[in-house]
Amino acid sequence: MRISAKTTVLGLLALVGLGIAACDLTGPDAAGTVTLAWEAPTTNADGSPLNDLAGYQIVYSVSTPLNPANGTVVDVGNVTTHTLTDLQPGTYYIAVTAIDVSGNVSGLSDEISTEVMAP
Amino acid sequence: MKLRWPSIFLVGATLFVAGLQEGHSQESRPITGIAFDWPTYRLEAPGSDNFPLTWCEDDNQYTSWGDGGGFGGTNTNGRVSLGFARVEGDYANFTGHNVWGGVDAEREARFDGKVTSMICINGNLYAWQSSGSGESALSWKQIIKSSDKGRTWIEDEFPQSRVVGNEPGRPGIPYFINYGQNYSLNRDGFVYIYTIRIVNPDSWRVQIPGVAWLARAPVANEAFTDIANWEWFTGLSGGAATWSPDSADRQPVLEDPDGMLRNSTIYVPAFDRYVMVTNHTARNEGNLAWWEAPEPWGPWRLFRKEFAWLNSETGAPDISNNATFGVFGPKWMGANGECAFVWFRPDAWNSVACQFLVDGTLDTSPPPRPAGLAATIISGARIDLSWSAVGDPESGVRFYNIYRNGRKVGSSNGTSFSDSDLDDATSYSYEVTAVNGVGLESEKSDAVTATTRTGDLDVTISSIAVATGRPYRVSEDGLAVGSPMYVDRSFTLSSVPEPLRGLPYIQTANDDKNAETGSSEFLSFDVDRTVTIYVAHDDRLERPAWLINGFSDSGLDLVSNQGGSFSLFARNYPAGRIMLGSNAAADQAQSSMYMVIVSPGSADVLPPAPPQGLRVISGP
Repeated sequence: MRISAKTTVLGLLALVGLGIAACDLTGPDAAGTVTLAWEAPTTNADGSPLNDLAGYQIVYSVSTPLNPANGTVVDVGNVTTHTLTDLQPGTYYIAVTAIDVSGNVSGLSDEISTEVMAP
Repeated sequence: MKLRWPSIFLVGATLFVAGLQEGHSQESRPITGIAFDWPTYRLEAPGSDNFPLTWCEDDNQYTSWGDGGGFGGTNTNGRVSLGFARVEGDYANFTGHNVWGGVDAEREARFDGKVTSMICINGNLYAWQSSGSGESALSWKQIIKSSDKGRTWIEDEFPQSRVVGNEPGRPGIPYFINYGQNYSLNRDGFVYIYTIRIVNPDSWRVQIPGVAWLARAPVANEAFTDIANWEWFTGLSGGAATWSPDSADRQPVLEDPDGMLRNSTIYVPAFDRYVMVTNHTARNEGNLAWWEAPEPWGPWRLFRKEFAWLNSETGAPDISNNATFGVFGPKWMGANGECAFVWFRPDAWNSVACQFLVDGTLDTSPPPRPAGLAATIISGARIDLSWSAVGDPESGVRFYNIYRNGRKVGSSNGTSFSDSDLDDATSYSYEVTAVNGVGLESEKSDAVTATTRTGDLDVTISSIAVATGRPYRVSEDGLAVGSPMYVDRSFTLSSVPEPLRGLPYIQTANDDKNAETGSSEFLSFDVDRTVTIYVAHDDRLERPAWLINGFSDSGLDLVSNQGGSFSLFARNYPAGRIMLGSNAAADQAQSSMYMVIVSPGSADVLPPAPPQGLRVISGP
């Protein structure tokens, strides 16, 4: 796994974090983690059966709409759940893509957002 | 080794010749090698070639050339189809003088042709002449004669000497043995003629495999000028040579699987031996072999064999290694095995003093067979081989031969070989052998089998367009360790993952690492089939947007000889135009431009549908 754009994202998060008021903890997880789940696609983009799925990439950012150029991309392997950790407080926009064994990457899934509170 | 030319030729020349003519008291000693004295190298008669040599009673040597002006001429100045010249003097001070044809010749040339072998007997010159070079040299050769040291030649004086015939099974291409001055060292009154078997009558090329036969006929009454008087060597009986007038009975005196074409053989009085020169494998590429034997019929033993002679010869002149063939000057044989070797290449006389070696042990044992042969499948057309070096304590290992499916496909001075132009999806079996300093070949290594990749793996990359206009280019040599990375740097690759070896790639300009940063339209090119594009991206740099969207991390890396690591991101494209972006903006003082590797890839260019139902199942 290789995480790109790390420096830029952390820099942006630091700036964002200064403007966020302290939030109450509302969940059981440790601060700065988000666990995601999704459904595996069963078709190719043209609707033909998908039988060479290889894995997924998660793309997330503090800005929207999501653009891999200014976000973070994480290769997570062929799973349908993944936990992002060590996130700074702030609002995150997150999507997931599927990749087949030939290296073809799907479009982004629908984008969701979630807020990470300060501890 | 020291050559003692002055003492031999200023003091002893006439002495040793006189001594030898008294008889053959010298003990026969096998010749085990030859050393060349490169400071004595000379180039003469540029533009002319062939240069057989013989030695007459007037103490001059005589030679012949083709298609040039001879001594003092050029390829055009004084050019004749066939010329004859006199070579005066010892090797240390020899001079050439055109006798028949060429610049400032004593006589004009009167007919065309080529001469590849000459002898002088009873003051008469005899030469094997063909009507021309090339294929015509294979249609016939005949003996022509001059009784006035080359000033007059009568064409067709001996039509009954015509041999060859450009069809298999004919006598073969003829060459004389030279026996000292004016044939004086010959003991038995015969003229000996080697003929080389013609395998391919269509062109004047090395005949593979090479077979030399031997014929003889009496000197008396010029009987040797009529092939009806020839008798052929048929073998040994009780240690004595046997002869037959029927060429159907003849047996080879020498065979070389690498082939033969020309032949020059000379008696070496210092050691009472014969030395034969042959060429092999291919013409004009420095492929010469030197053999020695106690008798004209052998047994012939190789004491030196060269592929691309001069290429690796220490001290050799800085000339191309396209030697065609050579002879030893009969007059220039010294009492202690000194010699002078004259070879030609297109086009010039080249010569060097030399020394026959007898003190060494003739290496009669082949080197050990190579081990550790391994094959790497590079593509649908290429397999690379490597093996472990072997040594030969007697004469050293000079090179290795490579066999594919039992047939020799090449040789290598090192311990690797690339076999290309193979069929795809085809299994090949390889073996290698080691060849030592005298040309003896080891047994074959254990075989290794490899199957080329499947599919038509040719991809054409064209119409490269770069935003900066720098001259990117496609390297057709294929990606490999040592491949150049850029068009404007000497950086090379020190590590290439196996799946990418041999693939075409685009050499980019490292100066473009900071160009138009952030652009998604920087480099474009056409491909003529479905491909997987691998972008080798500097790990020190932020990964640009275009290299994220649609690309996946292959998990593979390239490493440069500067130590830089480049992750390979892959994406499939259909045939057509491919557009890539620039590097991302960053502090790029310590960074490099990306490279592009093109793999004729999967036909699958259809991405999956996007995943659905993304949700947070636990978290803040």
